[in-house]
Amino acid sequence: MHKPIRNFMKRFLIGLFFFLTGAGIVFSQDSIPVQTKKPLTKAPFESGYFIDDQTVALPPAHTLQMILQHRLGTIQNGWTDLAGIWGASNIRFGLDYTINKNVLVGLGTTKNKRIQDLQAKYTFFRQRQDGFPLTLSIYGNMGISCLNKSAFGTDFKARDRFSYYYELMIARRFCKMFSAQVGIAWVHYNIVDTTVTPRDWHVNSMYNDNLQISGIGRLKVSPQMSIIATYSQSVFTYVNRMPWPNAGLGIEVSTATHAFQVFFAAAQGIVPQEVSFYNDKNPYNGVILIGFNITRLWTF
Amino acid sequence: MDSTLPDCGLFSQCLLFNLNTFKSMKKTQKAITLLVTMIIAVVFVLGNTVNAQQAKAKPWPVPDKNKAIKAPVNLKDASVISNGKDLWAKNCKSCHGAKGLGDGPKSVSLKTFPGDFSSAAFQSMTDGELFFKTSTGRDEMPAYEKRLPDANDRWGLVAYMRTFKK
Repeated sequence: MHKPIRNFMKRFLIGLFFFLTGAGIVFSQDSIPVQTKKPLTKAPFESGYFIDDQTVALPPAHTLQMILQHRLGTIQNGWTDLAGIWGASNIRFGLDYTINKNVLVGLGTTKNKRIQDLQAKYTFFRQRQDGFPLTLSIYGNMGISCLNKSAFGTDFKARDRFSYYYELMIARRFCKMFSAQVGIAWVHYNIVDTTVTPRDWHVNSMYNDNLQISGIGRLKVSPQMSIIATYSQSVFTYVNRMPWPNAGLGIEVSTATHAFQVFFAAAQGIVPQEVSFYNDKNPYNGVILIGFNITRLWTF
Repeated sequence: MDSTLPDCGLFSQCLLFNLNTFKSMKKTQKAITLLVTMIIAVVFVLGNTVNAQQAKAKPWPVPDKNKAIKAPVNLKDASVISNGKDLWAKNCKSCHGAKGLGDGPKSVSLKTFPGDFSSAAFQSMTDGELFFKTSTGRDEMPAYEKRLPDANDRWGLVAYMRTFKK
C-alpha cells in the first residue's frame, strides 16, 4: 500500500477506536438516569467464540473461560485420511477472564507457527428492549510467533514475530430465534511471508496491513441448539488469490457452563490474523475442514 | 487356544481359556489375581450402592425478609414463563429433570436428591423463597445470581417452576 494511504488508515482507525471508546465513556449506560434505562435484551450469542470469529458476547463478570479450538485436516482426501481426522491439524488452547461485565482479557497458545496470543474485548453499548438497537464491542489480539528465528528470513529482528488484529463488532438480536453480527477489522503483520503471498498479490502494494469484513448469523432451533454460519474476507487483496475468504457452517449446543460448536470451515489458522492473512483453503473450491470449539465457564 | 476345549462358542471358550490359565498359575499369582478381582468388585458394588442411597435434602431455612419478597414481574405472564422454560432447559434440566421431578441425567451423580418440584411441600413455598434458593444455592446447587445476573431471568425460573404443580 502507498505510505500516505497506510498512514491515513492507521490514523483513521486509531481515531475511530478512541472516538468509540470516548463515546462509550460519555454515553455509558451507568451515566444514564435510572428512570430512562430500558431493560437489556438477552445476549445475541451464547459464546464469545463463533467458528473462527469473535462475537460481542461476554461471560458474566468474574468468570474464567477455558477455550479449546481444534481444526482437522481438509476433507478432500476422503477415506485415505478419514476426511481430515488423520490429517495435519491445528489446535489452540486459551484462557479468558472477565474483569467486569464489560471487559474480557485472555491469552492463548496455538500449534501452527507456535503463536502465543494476548487478547482483550470491551463491550461499550448493549442492546436494550425498546431502546438502543445494537450491541457494540471492540476486540484486539496480539500474536507472537515463537518459531525459530530462521523462519523469519536472514535479517531477523524480534519485532518480526508480532502480528495484530483489531475489530469493531456490531450485533443485534432480532428475535428469540435469530441474531446477527457484522465486523470490520484491521490486520497487521510486522513481517509478511512473501514466499506465501508475494507482494504483487496485494492491492496497492499493501502487504503488511489489511482490512477484513465479516458477517455471522445464528438461528436458534431449540433452547440449547443453534445453527451457526459465518463469512469473512479480506478487502485489499486480489480476487482468486490467497488469502481466500473463510466460510463456516455448523451447529452449536450450549449449557449453563459449556458451549460446543462443530462445523465445516475453510481456514485452519484459528488466530484471527492468521485466518485473515494466510488462509490457503478456498471454500469456493470445496476445500473445507471439520473443526470444533469448546468453551467452559467457571464463575467466581 | 487349547485344542482340547469343547466347541461351545467364543465367549465360553474365552472363559474356559482364562480358567485354564488361572489353574496353571503359581500360588502367588493366583492370590494377586484374586485380590485384584475382589477389589474391583468391591469398588463396583460400593459405587452403585452409594448412588442408590442418595441423601434427602437437609432443611433449608430462608430469612423472613427474603420469604416476603414479591416478584417484580407477573409470574403468570406467558412471556415470563417462556423465558423461564428456556433457561430451565439450559441451566436446570440436567439435574432437576424436564418436569422438576429430580430425575435429570446428572441427578444420579449427586449426593443429595434434587427434589420433587411438583410436590405440595415444594409448591407451598413463597415466590421469595424459591427466588432466594435459586439465587444463593448451597452445596451441589450452584448460586445462579452470578450465572444469571439479571434478576428477571431468575424470576422467570420461579414462574416456570410454578407450572410443575400437579
